[in-house]
Amino acid sequence: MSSRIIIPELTKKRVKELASQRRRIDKRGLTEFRPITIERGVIPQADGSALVHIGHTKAIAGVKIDLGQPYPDMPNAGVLAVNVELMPLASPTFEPGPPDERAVEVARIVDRTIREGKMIDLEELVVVSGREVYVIFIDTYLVDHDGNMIDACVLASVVALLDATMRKAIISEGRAKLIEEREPLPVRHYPLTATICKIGETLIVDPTLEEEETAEARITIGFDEEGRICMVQHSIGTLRYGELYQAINLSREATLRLREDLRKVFPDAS
Amino acid sequence: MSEFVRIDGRRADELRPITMRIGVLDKADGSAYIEQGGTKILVAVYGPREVHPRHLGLPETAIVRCRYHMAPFSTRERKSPTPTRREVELSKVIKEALANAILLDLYPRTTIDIFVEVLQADGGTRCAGITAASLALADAGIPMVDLVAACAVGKWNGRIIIDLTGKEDEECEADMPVALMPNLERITLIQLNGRLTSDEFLEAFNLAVKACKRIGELQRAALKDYYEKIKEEVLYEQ
Repeated sequence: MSSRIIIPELTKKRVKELASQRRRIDKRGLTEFRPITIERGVIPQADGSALVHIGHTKAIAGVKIDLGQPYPDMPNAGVLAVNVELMPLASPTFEPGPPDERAVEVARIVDRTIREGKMIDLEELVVVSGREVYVIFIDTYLVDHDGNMIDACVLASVVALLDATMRKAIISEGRAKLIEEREPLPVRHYPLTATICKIGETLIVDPTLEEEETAEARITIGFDEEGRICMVQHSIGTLRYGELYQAINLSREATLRLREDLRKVFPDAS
Repeated sequence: MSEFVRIDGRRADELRPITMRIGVLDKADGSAYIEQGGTKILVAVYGPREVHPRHLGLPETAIVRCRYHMAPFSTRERKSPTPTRREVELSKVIKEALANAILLDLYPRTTIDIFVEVLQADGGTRCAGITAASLALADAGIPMVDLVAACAVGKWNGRIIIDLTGKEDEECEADMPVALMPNLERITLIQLNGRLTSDEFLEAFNLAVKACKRIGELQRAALKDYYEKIKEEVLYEQ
């Protein structure tokens, strides 16, 4: 698979020059996200869904919830399964076929953010201990890639979960069955991520594709609503220790502002 | 801190016993074997060599490929030999953690292939894999700006500890693998799986830096030892 995106050297040079003056090619502030739109319930067939834009980057997430067996080592917890697809629609460098290492990495980042951010109380999803639990499938599609696919996929997945309802389970003749009546998921926390790129000596939030291709380093950090760090993934280049500390502060600040966007759609997501 | 004792009797900031051996495979261009507590890993490096398939080669630089793989017998329950999503992700992050240290521009149109085979898993396999792979790269004579040393830190029973065993890893509230170039003081890998406050994060990171520096010293000693022995053998033959 060709994974190279060609960005003109002139553009890269310009991005670097601007970064050295603490400016950006699209005139944004260093810690500012691009304009964000969040739509929920865009796919009525799904139990929960979301369409998220971060600038020109777009991701769609759909949640499907069913009954199934728990993992043998976790008989008293529901199952969460995250899949991310980098659709061939989204970029000339994405090709059809099974998820490659980039897609698997993003899926695992989304999974860790939701799981370790304790977003869903999985223990509330047990119908019959050890036998029948709710299984939550989150499928997230990146449909237009203009940089920062990680934050777009995390945000879309979180919104789809917040949008989701599950059918109530009843037990008849010793077997669990889903009825038509619905209830919301047991949401406990609201984790979000912000991705930081290092260009020259400058750190920026929410890189565009051009910035990402110019960057020497990239790190994504997830926070819950109480400001605890629930996910870190360093995925390009090297960082000095001081830059790591700085990245933590910048991403915390950026997720606070991202949370305001989320609250416009879900007032509870404090 | 003195009263706090871990399952295996270690202090919070104490590494498990580590042995490193270099040049353990005959056919590979470079190889290394590491034991860190119960974790046992074999690493081979091939390259710089011609890239197959050819279209993957890059005209201005070498590429690095990595396969992190756990043997079916490495875990308590048999692990299917087909790569899991976890192994796919770890292969990617290990590759990136090491590639940053290699002078790739010296070998355009070639590949450096790294095979990390976990023979027995008892926690910290990606970190021990990186530590050993860095030695294997050195053994292959591949120019690097620094060695890469790695160690996991975590939060277990409310305390920040280093170099988690498999059991501690299962029970822990957070685990955070870190890889560094110890002399250049550059982070080449950091991941967090779990939840930490900012203060805990800083404490954990500082412990990780110390642990990586210690592992870096062990790497250096292992390399020196290896080349001293070769020197002795050569002199003896003469």
